[in-house]
Amino acid sequence: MAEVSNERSEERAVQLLLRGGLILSAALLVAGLAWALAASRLRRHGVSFRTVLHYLLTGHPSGLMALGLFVLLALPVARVVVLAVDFGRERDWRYMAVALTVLGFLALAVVLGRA
Amino acid sequence: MTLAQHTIWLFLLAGLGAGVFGAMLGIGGGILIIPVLVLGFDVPVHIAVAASLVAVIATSSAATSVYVGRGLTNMRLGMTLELATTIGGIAGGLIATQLPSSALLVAFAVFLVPIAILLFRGRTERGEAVENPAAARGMSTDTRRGLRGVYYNPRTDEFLAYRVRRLPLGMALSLVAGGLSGLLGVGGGILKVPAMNLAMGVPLRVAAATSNFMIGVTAAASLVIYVQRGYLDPLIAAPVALGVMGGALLGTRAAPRVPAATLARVFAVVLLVIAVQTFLRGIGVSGG
Repeated sequence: MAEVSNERSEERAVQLLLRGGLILSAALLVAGLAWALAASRLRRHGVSFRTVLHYLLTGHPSGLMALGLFVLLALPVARVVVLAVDFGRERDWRYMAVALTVLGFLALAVVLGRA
Repeated sequence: MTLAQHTIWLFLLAGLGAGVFGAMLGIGGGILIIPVLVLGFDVPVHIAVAASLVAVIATSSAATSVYVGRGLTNMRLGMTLELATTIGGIAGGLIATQLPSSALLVAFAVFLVPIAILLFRGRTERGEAVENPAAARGMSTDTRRGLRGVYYNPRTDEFLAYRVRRLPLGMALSLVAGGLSGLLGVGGGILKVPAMNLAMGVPLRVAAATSNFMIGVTAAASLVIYVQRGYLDPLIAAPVALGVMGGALLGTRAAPRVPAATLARVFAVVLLVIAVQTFLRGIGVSGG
């Protein structure tokens, strides 16, 4: 098992994913926040996965901001997926299994988190 | 409750400060966000924790996008420890609404003190010079004898090798760190950096980069629970997240020019300040 693997390609994939995601998230957050400030719609309220669509469809700046926040939330999850695929490509089965297990735990969080 | 325009700008500024500091120290910045939101703006604790977890993910993603290109992040070690931190994060998130926060805050404050002292005194740059640095750069390996890695120290201009020791202890500490992350929205880098550095023999720079890499997933595990319970408030979380993104990019760029020993000492002092703040809040002195 003395397998030596180069992390260069993994690093590049993770870097591209995170940068792209951050730019998308920041754009949505800036747009939503600017909209809320310009329209003086500054009433505080929570937004969940279920209500985000409602806010988006009814033309509320919170919908846009929440979408940006959910893109941000998805980044670490997507990062685990990218690494699982990359480890698999390298035939590093042990770390692919580790990544998939982490992904399973994240799915568990969604199920257990339901109020 | 309707917010004033200037409050939004102050949230943005708080995020910026937390992002700079957090990225330089390998912590999520949540330890700065929560006191500012709760003590400064009377934001309910759960909403502050959710905003802080968003900030942790933003710091982690921004800092990792810079650090991974430098070959400092040990992704295999990070992934392995994430097995423990995500479980801890879920447990922490689930019980956060059930337990009185005062007792937890006091325990957390007490727990920080020995870590701060150890970090203040400890030697940080461990490792041996590598014979063939060009080939070894940015590589981590996993042999029967455990995880190894090589990293470049820009201050001394040399490549250093290290071996990860005491992985089971590191996993146990990561579980605790993940739990506290979910409970208090602090990212848990506050525990993971000393755990990796002091308990597992990972050089501070590698520990900080790897911690930054890990805290995003840990925070995501807890955040999905807070979101589903309605604690994600876009008007608070969005400006904080934007500030943190900008701050983390600045902080990560500044980090290599900060000497590691000074970095550890600053970190230690920050831990003590937070310990006092958390303790006072826990016993109800500082209001909220």
